[in-house]
Amino acid sequence: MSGLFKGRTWWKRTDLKKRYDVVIIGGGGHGCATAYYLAKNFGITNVAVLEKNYIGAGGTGRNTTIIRSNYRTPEGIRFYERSMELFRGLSQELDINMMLSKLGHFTLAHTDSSVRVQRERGETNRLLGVDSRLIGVEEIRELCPELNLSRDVAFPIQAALYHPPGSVLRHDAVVWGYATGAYHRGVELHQGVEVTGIRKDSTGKCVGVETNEGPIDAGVVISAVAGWTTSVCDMAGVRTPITNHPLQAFVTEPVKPMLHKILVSASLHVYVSQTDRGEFLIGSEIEPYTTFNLRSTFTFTQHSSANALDLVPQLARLKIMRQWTGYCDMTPDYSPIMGETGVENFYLDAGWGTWGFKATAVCGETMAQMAATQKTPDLIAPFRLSRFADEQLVPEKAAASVSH
Amino acid sequence: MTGIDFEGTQVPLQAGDTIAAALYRSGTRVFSRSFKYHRPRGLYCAAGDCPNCLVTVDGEVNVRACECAAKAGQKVSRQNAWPSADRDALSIIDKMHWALPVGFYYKAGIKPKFAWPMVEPFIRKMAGLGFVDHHDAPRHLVRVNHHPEVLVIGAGVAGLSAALAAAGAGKSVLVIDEKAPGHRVAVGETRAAIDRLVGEVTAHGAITTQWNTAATGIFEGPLVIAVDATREETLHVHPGAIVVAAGGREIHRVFRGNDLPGVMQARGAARLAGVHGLKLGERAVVWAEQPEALAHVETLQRAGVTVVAVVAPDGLDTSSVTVEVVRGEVTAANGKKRLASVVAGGRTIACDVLAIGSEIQGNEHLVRLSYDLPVVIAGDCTGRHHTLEEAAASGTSAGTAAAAGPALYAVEPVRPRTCGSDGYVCLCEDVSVKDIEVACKEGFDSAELLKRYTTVTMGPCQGRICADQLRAVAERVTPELAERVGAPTTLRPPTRPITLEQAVAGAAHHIERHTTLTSKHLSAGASMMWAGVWKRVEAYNGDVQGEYAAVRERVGVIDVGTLGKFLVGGKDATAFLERLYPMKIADLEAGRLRYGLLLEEGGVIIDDGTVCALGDGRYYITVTTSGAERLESWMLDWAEAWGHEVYVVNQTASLGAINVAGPQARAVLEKLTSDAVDRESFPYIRHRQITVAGVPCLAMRLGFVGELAYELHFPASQAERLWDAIIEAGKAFDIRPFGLMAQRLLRLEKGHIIVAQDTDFETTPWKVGMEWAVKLDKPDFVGKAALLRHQKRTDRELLVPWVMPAGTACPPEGTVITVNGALSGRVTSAWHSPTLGHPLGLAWVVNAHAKDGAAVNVGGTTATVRVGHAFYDPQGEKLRA
Repeated sequence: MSGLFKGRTWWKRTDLKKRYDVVIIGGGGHGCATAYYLAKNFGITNVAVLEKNYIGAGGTGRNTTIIRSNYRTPEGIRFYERSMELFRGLSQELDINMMLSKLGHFTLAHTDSSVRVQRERGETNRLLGVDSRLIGVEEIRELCPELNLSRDVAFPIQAALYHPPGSVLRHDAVVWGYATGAYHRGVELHQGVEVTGIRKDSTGKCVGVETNEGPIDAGVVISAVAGWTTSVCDMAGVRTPITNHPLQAFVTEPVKPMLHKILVSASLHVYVSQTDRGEFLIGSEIEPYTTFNLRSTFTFTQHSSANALDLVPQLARLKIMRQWTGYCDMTPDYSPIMGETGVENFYLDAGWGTWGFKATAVCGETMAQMAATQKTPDLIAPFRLSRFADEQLVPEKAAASVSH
Repeated sequence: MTGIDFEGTQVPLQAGDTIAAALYRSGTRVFSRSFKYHRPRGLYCAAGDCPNCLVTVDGEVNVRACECAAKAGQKVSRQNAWPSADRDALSIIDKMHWALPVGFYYKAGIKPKFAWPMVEPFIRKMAGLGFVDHHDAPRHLVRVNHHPEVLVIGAGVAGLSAALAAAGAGKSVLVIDEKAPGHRVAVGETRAAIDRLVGEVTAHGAITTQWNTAATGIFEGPLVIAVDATREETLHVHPGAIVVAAGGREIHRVFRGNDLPGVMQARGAARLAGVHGLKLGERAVVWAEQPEALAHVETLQRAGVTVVAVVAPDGLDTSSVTVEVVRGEVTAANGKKRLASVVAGGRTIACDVLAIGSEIQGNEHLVRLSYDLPVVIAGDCTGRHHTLEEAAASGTSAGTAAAAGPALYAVEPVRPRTCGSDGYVCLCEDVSVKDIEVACKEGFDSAELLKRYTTVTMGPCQGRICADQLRAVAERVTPELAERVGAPTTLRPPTRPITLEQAVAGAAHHIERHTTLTSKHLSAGASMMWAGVWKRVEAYNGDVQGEYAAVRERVGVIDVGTLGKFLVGGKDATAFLERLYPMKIADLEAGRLRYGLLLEEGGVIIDDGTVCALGDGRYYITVTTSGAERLESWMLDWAEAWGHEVYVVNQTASLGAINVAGPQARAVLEKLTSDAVDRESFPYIRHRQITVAGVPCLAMRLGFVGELAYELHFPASQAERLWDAIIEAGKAFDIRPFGLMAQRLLRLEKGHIIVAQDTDFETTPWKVGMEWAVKLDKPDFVGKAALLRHQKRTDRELLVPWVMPAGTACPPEGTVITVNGALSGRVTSAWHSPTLGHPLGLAWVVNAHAKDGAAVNVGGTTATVRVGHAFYDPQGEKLRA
């Protein structure tokens, strides 16, 4: 209960220095977590996190707060399972209540092809020690009676991949927790500092960044900017196969709790959960077009509402309170891009599409290891940028799209 | 029943009552309990802005009582209180502020680790406001499209004047207002002006009006969404230009006790007193910060309230009022469950109503969504109070500008006003000034961070009450960064609540396509299943085995009208297809057909089907049911890229297709045609024009199911006639219609893949053993470069056929494959073969084990990999028959 009754200092604004051992571009969950683990695991504290807006302004504060590890490929499963492990102890480690709520996660299957994919995921998950299984309609009814299991709808639910450890937690608390943990270990957080260039020496090695507050020298530069990856990579002269798509979500006004599972339907392109505040959180697949415009669209509201009502008709007269949009840096195989870039000392943590939040913890841990040791950790080796040139993809589309 | 049922008590109604007015008249003062501390809350804005009067009406939660028309028989109850809002046991939380500082939920319940999972369910129970009606189900609401040249939002003096000006300039105009015009304005000069303007607007032929219609957002287009709760319509308005005259509201003033029932915004108090005739209390204080507020004194007096004092700043001319004037500000409100006195100018004044006529801020929400759209603002919405004359002039000029085609609107942020040092900034979430100041000191020193940490602006009011004051505090705490930290938080739609069912109205939700034969199938007992956007027959009366047996032993017939069907012609048709497909096209003689894969640039299989050379430089091609839509634009894109002169005619819907398959297929056909269909005249992988039962058909001899088969393509209008004729002719052979399930089993015995079931988005022809379908010696085709690269690598996994011994249970599709406990693949297709008497299928298996004869574990049973042979009729004699 320390610090409950007196205010605590989460962080303070400080002056920018001329040089850091590590400069992290992007003060979102990934950037702050990387800073935290650099300090905690490696004692590297001469670190600056540069955030052009405010802490957690991007995807960290716009996602649907779901964490899970029921992925399709062994590479994906191991990676996200490590993240789950870290998340489970994070409230205690950082002394911040992340409000982790282990609701259980349903991936609903409405077609025979989806049943096939969910069965495969469940079996692969279990083989790797992840609690996940395909369940039939009767068990779904028992676990989640609020779902519309009628056969008399366009897409009757046939089965579900049930992942009991699937949880939600307060996304802002995660980034603030890592930020304050890093700050109190000596890391500097700079809000309102925008990187405008990547500085290289004559050999092409990265030696620092240009910012709106002047140049900064750095031993290592890590880009953890998700939706702005293509812009930062342009500055560094690094090419990625990333495209930027908007993703939208909305919440309803709060009502008393009635839904206690996280619902996702790939066939209907929708997910539904109820937060601890009582709001229903409803979202969709990424928009099919690429843009840097964050304007909300009504087409999204209309179709996501329709799909959500297919699953939970009782929500018909709930009032939509707020809808918003974020960026998704999508990769061709729906897996991230992590590690070396071909530019020495410039590392990438990118390609986070719709699956970035749940990876926050493990990204911080592995990117910190990468920066500290200059060696690629095994867990992220499959996610190297060069896999696209080699065509050695890590296909997660079946498990990542609309699953958040 | 003449009244409303309020928590079991009958409350009488008067004409024009809102629910709030009726309840207030009958003595209700506490309308809700606040979200976090369960503090009693009374009517405050009376304009649909604040969260204080959210009630449940007939099962609908969070209804704004002040805006909802009262109807006899309604069931109304208050929310978030137990046992009742008047005596709420949970108000004990309000006594525990000391234990619940800002952000307490981030700081408590951390250790020991097991504590939170135990506490969380209780916290979860406390959340939320009303209870959802579990029997609720969406109604089908109507969507109405409007295309006015000018849309005016808001029917006050400014909006109505704008409408007349735009119509006067020759434009068609739609005016909407969330209530009836003047609904919040008591009798008087303004009301008279509105009534007169409504008369003119209604009489004008170019102006349409729709009241009780609230705009909920402005989107790109521009598209304005509005909901008419009375008519149960959702409006999609597509205007040329928009005038936003949504009026203004008083700034939320923050001081100790500012949330007590009895403290009201002056416009709201005037509405309740003037429009609904409510005597709001015995003694009122009017705090007037601008001239308009002084007029409310008389309105309150007329309703029988004694106005004991007017509190006004030094500069305000108060000569028009006859009550005592106290110079200064209200600095505190006292009382337990409701207002008893206020402190102003150093004095304590006993009163039970405080009407706060503070500065006006514009109802800017719609406007802030309008950047880069043709929008003009008029009247109070611009952010300052307008007199009658000013409002009319502002509206007229806005209407004229809108008619002329306005410049695209650029949002200019308004600086926040100052904020008091005590009291509640946020009524939705119970956040005080002190909470915000503490949060700032803790590090959350910008409006956006404060919003997230304290949850100010995140409740049902969405910042209408609190946003300005939140920014004011942020600026005060970090003056050196005022511009940045006090910047407005992002505004999002909806600007007024819209329910999910209202949002859905008119959505083309699930597009479902049927062939012309669906009614035949259904009357024959078919169950249907999805195949892309099509509904196809799964099986008839569930008898997959019977259908299977008919095809293998006698004859079956299947509706394949959903196949993608294209006619490709034009000068470059041959060259075009040669470059599109990985197999040879140019050597395809007239009358022949060829199976073809379609690859994307990465060499990945995206579809498959057949190509028939028609002999005159034209080709008839088929693709899979789910591929048709996508592939049409895909082909046209390539034609354009290559500069080919071709046309691609999508005949998917205009042509029907029926496949007759089985050893007796020829015998059935011979009964229906005089054209030669014998083996010599019409051999395998040929196509012919024949007439079957009087229907001209393009007939193809194909072998997807592994038997003698004729696939007939014909005008869709003839489908029923042809289907009936085939069924009739087939009776002698005990013909059976068969569905997708039987077809999948039949093709599986042949080892044929189904694209998207057996393949994924990395599948190249190499990986599925279909090198034979690719001719790398062609100059170029889509995917060739990638396949050449690909040839140099060893694939991680391959798609291979497998079998299990007779007597073993068939594993379900999707089962994973292991070897020595290690993940080694997955089953994509599996079935128990009736002919061969054992389970078989296709599977992805890691390279090391994808070899003929390799033993792998499938769900606990050993399966043997069988590379290179079809299970059924390996020599293909049956289909060549």
